[in-house]
Amino acid sequence: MTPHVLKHIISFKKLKVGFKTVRDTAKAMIFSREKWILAFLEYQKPCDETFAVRCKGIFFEIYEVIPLKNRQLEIICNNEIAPDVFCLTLGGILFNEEIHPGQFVNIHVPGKSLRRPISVSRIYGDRIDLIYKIVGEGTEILRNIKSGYLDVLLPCGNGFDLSAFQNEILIIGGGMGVAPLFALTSEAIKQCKKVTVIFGFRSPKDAILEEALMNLGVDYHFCFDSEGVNVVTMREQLGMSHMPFAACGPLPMLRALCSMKDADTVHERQNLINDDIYGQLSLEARMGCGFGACMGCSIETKQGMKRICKEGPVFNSKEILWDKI
Amino acid sequence: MGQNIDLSGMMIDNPLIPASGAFGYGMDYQDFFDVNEVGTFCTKGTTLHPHKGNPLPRIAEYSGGMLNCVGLENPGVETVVREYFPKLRNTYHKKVIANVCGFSVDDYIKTAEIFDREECVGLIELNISCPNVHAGGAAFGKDPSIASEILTEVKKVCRKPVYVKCTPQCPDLVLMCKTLEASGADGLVLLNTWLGMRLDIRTGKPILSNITGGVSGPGIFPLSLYKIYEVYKNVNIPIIGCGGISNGRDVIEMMSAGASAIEIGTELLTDPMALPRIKKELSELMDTYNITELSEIIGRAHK
Repeated sequence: MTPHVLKHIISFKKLKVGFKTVRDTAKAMIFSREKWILAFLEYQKPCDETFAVRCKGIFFEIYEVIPLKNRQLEIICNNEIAPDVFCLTLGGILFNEEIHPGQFVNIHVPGKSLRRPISVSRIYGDRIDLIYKIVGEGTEILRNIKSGYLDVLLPCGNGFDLSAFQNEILIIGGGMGVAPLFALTSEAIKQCKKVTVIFGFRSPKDAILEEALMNLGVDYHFCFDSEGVNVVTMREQLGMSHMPFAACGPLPMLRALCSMKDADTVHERQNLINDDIYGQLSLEARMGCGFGACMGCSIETKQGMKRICKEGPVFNSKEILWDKI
Repeated sequence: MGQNIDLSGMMIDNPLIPASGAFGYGMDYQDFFDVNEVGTFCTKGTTLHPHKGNPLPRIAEYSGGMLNCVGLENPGVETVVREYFPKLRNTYHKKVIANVCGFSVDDYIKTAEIFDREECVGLIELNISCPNVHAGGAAFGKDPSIASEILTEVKKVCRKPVYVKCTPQCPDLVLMCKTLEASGADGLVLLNTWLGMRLDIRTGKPILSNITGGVSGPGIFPLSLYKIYEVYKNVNIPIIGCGGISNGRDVIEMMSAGASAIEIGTELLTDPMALPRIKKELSELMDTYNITELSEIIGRAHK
């Protein structure tokens, strides 16, 4: 579900109202941040300007749920931006209305049976940038497609929730995990938050998006495994180990980010998850469908089973059961 | 032009049925099309108690489709009837096929009994063919005596028709199907996924967490078609064909081989609009080949 403000009435932080069109009637769902559905409402379309939901005397924000659809998107360009890393630009619809940072698209790669889920790294007008690494047969085919149209399912999953951060946000990415975080950085700046970015790569030649971050004028720090500095140590150096963060990257990195800072080994870190740190983590998985039907990417969380493609890919760090993933 | 099909008294207005595991509990496709376009659909395989399924990775691919080892993740039958079905009824107005799984004979009986009481359930699909669980599942589906024991017990507690979904891993499928028919099966669903595996090219190790998984997709279509052709010759109960169907042409072939209706799985995952597409293709093919009543082509390969 994509929360999208349809009509702002009175903001009430803990609750959101989902709005879903089902044929000629529309349904509104009120759910808390934990997604417990508190109430269902049904009303006839079209809803007028004054439409509001009243529940126990409080007005809520009305969100529209953008339906997931498959669309034919035009390939604008598809170029190598680092060794084995490509940036695919697609065009066709007004994406700002449709995609939020952290959501992904699911691409039908000609000749492959399963779609390829790829996060969106830049959303601008009628274009989106997708950054992907050549890792297997699907991406190998994709790199060679330079023009024409692709069948793309979007928007998939739930993105980052910037409203959960106060004025400051630390954005941490590792390897290809930096891709969705660039969209988040742009959006956070647009919302006038104080943003610090830490991106980690294997070596300087693998670094991407530096120029783009520079153009945003954001405070950013790059670190490289080849130089013995990773994002966790960089975060410590910057004295930001306790700051709420949003992150995407390899699982050991995410786990380390949520751990006590004096844990030395990965094994220790597993057992020393620090519950005082708040983070939003974007996870990845091999997916069957990408829209919640096949249960191919479910993980066990503190709130039960959740699908990375549907309830995720962004999770609250506190709901993750680290020994289950 | 008619596409009505009679499944042991459960009438469906077209033969296209999303297969168990590819359609959840009917709520994940509402963004894509009006789910009432399906003939009916099979629920996700449901057990008596909630089941978490296997760890990730649960999905792998091959050139003919995919492999999965989800392993029956489901919220348990109580949650399904108490929470999911009432929600489903807001948008879906037809009956469903309840896919019943278990890890013991008792599990099957209790789960089927609960589903049987639900008004929206038109038919019970006894799943003795899940390849991804370590107890029950396909292990029951390979042994005709256990399979018929489960069926007999389930039939005692169900008023609705009970179909049995068989596994292609069964060493003698024809014998299995004849035994099930003799034990009172109202129909058969042929077939669940085929056991297979993929290895990671870099490490040489299995990709799937469960090592093996169920193979599905267009690559298995000729295999399934042949099995249905063989079984049809030996039984007199309806068969729902399942395995690799991806277009209208496959539907006609499968029905000609002996299927009364067909289930679609993998194709729905790769193309969420596949069901309305296949429905349209089927209507066009009926036009092209002058088929006025679809039910008349069932088993015509044998005539």
